[in-house]
Amino acid sequence: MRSFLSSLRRLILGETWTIPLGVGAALGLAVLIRASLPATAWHVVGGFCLAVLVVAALAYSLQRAPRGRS
Amino acid sequence: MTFVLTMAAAAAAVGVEMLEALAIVLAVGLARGFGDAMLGALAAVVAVVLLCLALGPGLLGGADLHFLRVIVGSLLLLFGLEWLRKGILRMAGRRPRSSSYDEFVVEREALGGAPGRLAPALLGAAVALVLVVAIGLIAHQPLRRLPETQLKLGVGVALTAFGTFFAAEGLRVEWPLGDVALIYLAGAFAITAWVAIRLMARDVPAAEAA
Repeated sequence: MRSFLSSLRRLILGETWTIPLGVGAALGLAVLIRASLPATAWHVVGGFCLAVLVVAALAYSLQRAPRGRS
Repeated sequence: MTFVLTMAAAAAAVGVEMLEALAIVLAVGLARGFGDAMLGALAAVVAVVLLCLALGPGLLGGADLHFLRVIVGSLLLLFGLEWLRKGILRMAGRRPRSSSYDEFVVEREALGGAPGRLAPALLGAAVALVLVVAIGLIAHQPLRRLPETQLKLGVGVALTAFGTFFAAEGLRVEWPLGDVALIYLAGAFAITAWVAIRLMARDVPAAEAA
């Protein structure tokens, strides 16, 4: 059972916590930005804000990756 | 246009995983006999179909459209970024190139989970199935020679673009040029991956990168 749950966690969340943490943070920040902007402005720039946050999440996960081959 | 793009992404994502599955089935067939391999493959297909039937209606029925898009987008981002991360690390020489076989079902579910996208995702998966079976019947050389890392990196770019697109739509964003946003998002993520590979490869000692 523990092995099954471990496999399921790895299947959905991947092999590192940095990706799910990054995705969660990106979406959370996007919601905050959306709340702080006028609706019309969010409709136009919101997607690009989210894209930048996704790139930041990727950069964070890469920066936390072990150096050298593992 | 969205139909075609969704179908293409589903076909690419499913196709890569099915090529791996085919390679595993062929390897098991050579090692333990093709009876066992075909039986195992058949059991896996039945399990996948049952999983789709169990999860699909629940995902599509009765959920708020925007909320569902955020959920689907988040799942696609999880898979896409994971593939991107692995692909970048492998291409930069920071990780050995290898393969895995497990994301197929959830990716297909995620791509098909957005309202109106189930048909193209299923069609894409069917196209991938036919192509992969045809390749398996025709090709006699080991499938491990395929540029799997590059294929996975490309699929990671596509899944990340779809995930960003759907999640933003769920947050009531109106993309400039509509569905064409998928293309320029994929381009932006591909450039990001290329830059990341170049930057990370510089940090790898020559002996390790060789």
